[in-house]
Amino acid sequence: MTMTPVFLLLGILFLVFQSTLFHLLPAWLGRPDLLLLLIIFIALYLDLWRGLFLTLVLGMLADILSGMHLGVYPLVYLLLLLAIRLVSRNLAIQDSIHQVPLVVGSFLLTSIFSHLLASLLGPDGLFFWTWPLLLQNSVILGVICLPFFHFCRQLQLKLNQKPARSFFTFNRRSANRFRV
Amino acid sequence: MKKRGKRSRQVRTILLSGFVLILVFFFIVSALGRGEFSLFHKVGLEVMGAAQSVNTAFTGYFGGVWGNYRELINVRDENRRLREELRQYEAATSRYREAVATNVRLEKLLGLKENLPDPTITARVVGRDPSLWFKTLVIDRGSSDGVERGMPAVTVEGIVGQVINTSPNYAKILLANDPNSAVDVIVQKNRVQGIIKGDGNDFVLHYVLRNSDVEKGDHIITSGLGGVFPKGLPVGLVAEVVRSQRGMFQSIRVEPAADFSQLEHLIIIMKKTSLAE
Repeated sequence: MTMTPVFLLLGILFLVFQSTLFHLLPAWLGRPDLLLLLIIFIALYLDLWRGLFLTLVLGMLADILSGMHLGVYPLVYLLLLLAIRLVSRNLAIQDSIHQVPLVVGSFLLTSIFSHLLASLLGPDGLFFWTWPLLLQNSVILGVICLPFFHFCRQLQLKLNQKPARSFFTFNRRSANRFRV
Repeated sequence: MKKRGKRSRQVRTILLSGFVLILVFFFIVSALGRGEFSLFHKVGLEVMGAAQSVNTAFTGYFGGVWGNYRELINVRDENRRLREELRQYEAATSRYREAVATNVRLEKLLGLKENLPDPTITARVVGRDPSLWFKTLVIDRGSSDGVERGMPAVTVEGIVGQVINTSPNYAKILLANDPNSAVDVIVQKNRVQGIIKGDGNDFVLHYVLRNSDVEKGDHIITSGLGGVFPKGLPVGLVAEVVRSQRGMFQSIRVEPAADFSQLEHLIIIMKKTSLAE
């Protein structure tokens, strides 16, 4: 139960960092899209309905801080979530070896799709396109995705182990009812 | 048992497809509509704006300490140079003061209507667009300060953009170098009119006829015709002019007067009639 708010908070934190801190980083470090990594993690490891909810809310929050047209991010992230879940049914992409191409591919696809949407909704057709920045960011995401997923997986396991919090504590009876 | 599982999977697929269709519908409606923030977006901007504000103040403090340390190096030479520059500017200011006094006298003589400037409010930049394609900012002034959609944002150097969304304490600015932005401008020396559009980094000046006299280094200012920016604000300098063999218009690249990567504080011009009206 605590998993959803924790991952939501994590997503908000990533968005805030991306919009305040990352432009201060040196140019060679790029601006890694941590929120996208979180969405991919959610698609891979969290159950469908929780994933849909988190993706929708985080997409709507991304809309607030980025871009002009509302709805671009929820749509792009949701389609990404569904595509990853569809692929993960047939392929063993939860293995770490497959996660790097998955992340790079997802980043390129979401960038192309959001660029396409922005161009369609913009006043003058096609937006500017930047291969160097795109490739730089995809390489950076490919490098950091494995430690990132490891961190999120550890967090998820910890949250799964944690018992539900309550203000009242009861003495639970043992499951062994035949104990003397 | 197998049938039941198949049926539940079908129901799940239908629900999921319905969810996606609803989302696509919402997206189309919001994209074709005015694109104004809903209650969710306003609350979201309030929460994240506050978080951005704290984070920006925090990083600004430590960045300032580090910057001060670095700037101590060679500060004496810079001080000497600045004193010399100050002397030159004082002389120039004296000349300009005289020119302004003459201008005021002549305006009175001509009986021109005195235009009171619009009130302004300063705002701090608390967040920047993290994406590759869009150019927006978040500032720490919102509708409770009187900021409205369509109000222009400027700096001392030149135009920056315009307000596109607001919440009570924060507002989102669409930068002038975003491809969605368009500003009506004139070339200062010969009043040739055109429209400046963003290309992600610089500006591109559109609709200037091939035979118009525009050269590298010309100053571009706002024309005041678009209804957003007041007349005469600096926009940028012409960086490149390409006259192709075909076509009616020239291809002109303009370097922005304001440095969009270094924006920290903005001035919002509180227009009496905003674009939203």
